[in-house]
Amino acid sequence: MEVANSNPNLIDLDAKTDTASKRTFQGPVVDVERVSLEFTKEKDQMIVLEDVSMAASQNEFVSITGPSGCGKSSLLRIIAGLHKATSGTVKFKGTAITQPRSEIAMIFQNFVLLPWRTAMDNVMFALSAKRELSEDQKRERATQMLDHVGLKGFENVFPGELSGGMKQRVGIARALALEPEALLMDEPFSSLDALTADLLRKEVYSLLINPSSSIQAVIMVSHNVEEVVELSDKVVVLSQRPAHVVGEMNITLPRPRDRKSPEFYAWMDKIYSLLA
Amino acid sequence: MTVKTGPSTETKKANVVLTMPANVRAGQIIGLVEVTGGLGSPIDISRLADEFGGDIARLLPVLDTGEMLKLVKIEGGDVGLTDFGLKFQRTSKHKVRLLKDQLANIEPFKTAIELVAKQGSVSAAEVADALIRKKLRWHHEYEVNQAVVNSLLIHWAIYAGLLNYKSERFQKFD
Amino acid sequence: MTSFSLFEIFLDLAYSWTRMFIALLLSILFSLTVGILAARNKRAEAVIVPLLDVFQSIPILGFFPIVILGVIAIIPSQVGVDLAVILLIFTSLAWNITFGVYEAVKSIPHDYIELSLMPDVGSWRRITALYIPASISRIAYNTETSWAVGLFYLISSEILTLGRSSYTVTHGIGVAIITFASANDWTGYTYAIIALLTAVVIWQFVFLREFALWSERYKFVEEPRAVRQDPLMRFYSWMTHKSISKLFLYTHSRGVTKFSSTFYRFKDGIKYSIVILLTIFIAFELGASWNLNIGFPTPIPSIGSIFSTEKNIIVALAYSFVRIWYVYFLCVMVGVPVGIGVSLNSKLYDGLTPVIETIASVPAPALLPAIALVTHQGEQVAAIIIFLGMIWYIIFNVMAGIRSLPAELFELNSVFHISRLHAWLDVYLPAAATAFVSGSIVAIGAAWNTLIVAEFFIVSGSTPITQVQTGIGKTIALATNQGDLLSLTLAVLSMTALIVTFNLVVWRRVYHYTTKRYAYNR
Repeated sequence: MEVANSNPNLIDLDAKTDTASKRTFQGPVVDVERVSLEFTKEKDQMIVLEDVSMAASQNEFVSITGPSGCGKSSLLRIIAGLHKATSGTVKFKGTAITQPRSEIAMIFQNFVLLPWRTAMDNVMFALSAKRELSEDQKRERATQMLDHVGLKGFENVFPGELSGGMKQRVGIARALALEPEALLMDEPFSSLDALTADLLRKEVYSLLINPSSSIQAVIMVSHNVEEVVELSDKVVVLSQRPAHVVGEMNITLPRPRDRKSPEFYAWMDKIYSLLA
Repeated sequence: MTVKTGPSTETKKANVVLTMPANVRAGQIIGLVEVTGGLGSPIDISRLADEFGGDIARLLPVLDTGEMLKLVKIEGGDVGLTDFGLKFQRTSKHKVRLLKDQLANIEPFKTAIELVAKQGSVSAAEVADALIRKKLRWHHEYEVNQAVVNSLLIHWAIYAGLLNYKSERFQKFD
Repeated sequence: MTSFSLFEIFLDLAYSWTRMFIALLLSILFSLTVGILAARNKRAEAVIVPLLDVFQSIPILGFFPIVILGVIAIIPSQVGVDLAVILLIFTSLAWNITFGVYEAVKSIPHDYIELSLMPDVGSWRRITALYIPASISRIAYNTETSWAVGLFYLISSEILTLGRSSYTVTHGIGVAIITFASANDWTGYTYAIIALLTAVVIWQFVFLREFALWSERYKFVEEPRAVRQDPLMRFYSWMTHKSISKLFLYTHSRGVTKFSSTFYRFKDGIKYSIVILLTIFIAFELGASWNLNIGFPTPIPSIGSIFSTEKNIIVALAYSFVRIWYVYFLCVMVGVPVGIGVSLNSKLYDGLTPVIETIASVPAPALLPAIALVTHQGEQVAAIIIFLGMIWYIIFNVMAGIRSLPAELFELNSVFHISRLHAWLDVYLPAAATAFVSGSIVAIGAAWNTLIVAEFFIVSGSTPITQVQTGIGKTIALATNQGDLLSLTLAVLSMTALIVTFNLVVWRRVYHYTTKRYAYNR
């Protein structure tokens, strides 16, 4: 798969700010401070998240894991600005997140592509709000993104005609179209078969660590402990509802990580023991 | 009507028709080469199956296709990479493009390319119809067969850079 | 001047509900017999399924005049008329419930079937211990969802019998409503309508819900991820799916759209189905002609008279066709935005849906007199009645379509800061497309049925309460009143032919294209 490199033809979306200045903020890219989420449903008070704190720093790949239904996806949506926390704050580079912002992009488990639009249109969908770009510029940008994720030639194909892995790549292309600084991924590989997921994991990772990539932090939600250990720098483990942080660890394995090595298994065991 | 569910690779026969199975995808082939290479080829088939989640039934068509594409060779229960397979593994950019020449000889791509050369553009339905006339189809139901051909063309031909896709028709790759 | 008493109204309700209940029982018996047979016997299946399918797609109400005449020929009395009404209600419930039984028995897990085929298990035992319990859940569910349709036919048929000179239904809520209206007793009329509404609501909670809940215990397999919609929503989306004639249905799974027409799948049984249909039709025709003292057996009308009658009928059909379609466009202009708008807003949805459901449960024909009072223009009355008959199908289906989409699709709009306009154009409208098309197909089908009452309505005497200049509904009504069997038969057959052809030629393609392009599959 293509790895993005400095391409003179790459349209500079934000001519005013340069990449350097984007990285000058000192604190964590995403900072979650004592977030709680409650809601009442038919007289039942449900506490989903309880006093959750975590942070994703510069160049850090953070995974959030926990038993299913524990609220990891809700937490991710709070970070994305889609839900409001009942208490606590989430900050992006020091500014509170109250609604979705273009610096924070998201990839979904079920891809969530518009089936009535081509792959290109789906990527361009992300650029809808960018009024300063012309249609041609948007089209060119979308074509480039699709090329970066290895889908050159598929611009006019509809999602229904794509395989699962390809669909997720369109999702990735769409997420990256705005050159986001933080990337949120909600179980991005769990709808794919083992082989495709494996390939895509490697490709996504290489896409992210590429120096010209705009992404400074990644937060991934996953229940797949193996993939968590394979990809993450830091792992945050949540408990059952009401979910609170039961553990946090920095995985120090050198990359590339060997899934069969005893050290790898040791890390997986650590996480499993926290999940139990 | 011959219903082909797997490639026929008896190279001893002269007029053999190579066909792509309906449900093998490029990702699986890439995975096959990765795993075989990574584990140090040649590798025992059952060992390979373990890596693929133990599902031998799904592995076999992938193996057959890998052979057809000349990426792997199977000898005495072991799977090993060919030189081409090694090259494939080592390539990072546009891997699937390497398979262009192999795919051009496999149906439905072969017929599709011929039709594009003749008439400029072709639809999946036209390719499917042409192949039915050559007594080749992937499914007994007409519409499902057409969908399979469409699927294969989109997935492989575009991916390998054999054809372009616009307004639901396939054209020359530019 | 009819003075009314609450007791009388209650009595009318009781009569009507009894008719419904008898029709329901008959439907259940029919469905068990025919459904189980079709599910377990391949040859029966090949005949029965297409047959039921055709029944589902023809405008039943159009045939009602012939049916009444035919039935009364055999049983000439009050009972005959009541039977005719019950028969009509039966036709609105039976096919759906039968398909439910058929599908339920077909999906019994194979091990159970094998167990039941052991030598010491007799057929009767098999039926009572396996097939019937397996079908109960579907019967209950289908009953709950088709009840409103049955009501429509109840009211309409009670009303239609009133137009006849002899043998009318004596007691019934439809009768009450119209009698009050034609006597200008608007208080009585209002009370009757309210009584009907109340009965519907109470019935829903007391019987239908309980029935459906009780039957849950007979389920074999947990239904996968039931979409939590309220009953009427499920009704409208279910009803649509079931009502779309399988004559031209496309199934769409795993990227493949397959033409799964019953004609295509049951090629062998078609000829038998056609024979059965023709036999039934001819039987009623004979009965009707006997009734009208035309002669028995009927003298064959001359080609000339057929042609001249048919010419007028075609003109009438054209008028009705245009009428239905311009009202349809009005429905779309109103229904789609309302449907989408209400679904997007949770508060609106929770608040308005019960209100809409209640209003929708009053069959449009019951409101006819009130509307005719407000505007004396026949065209307008017809348009309003047709509109009311169609609008709910559009609204509820669009709502069901939107509500069944995953939340993430809407989250996309927030994430990418999509403007309101673009959200509607790029996401909401396309997302509602398939549901909208399904709803439209049923709505248009319902419109044809409503024509019979909407275009010409007479209670007694020579002045109709409302009428349009030209229309097939009027043609049918007039032909019934004048005993003109030739016109009546030709009119009904022509209308049916038009509807079926339109379904096959137009709707099929539209449905196919829409599901292929716009369906959101996970």
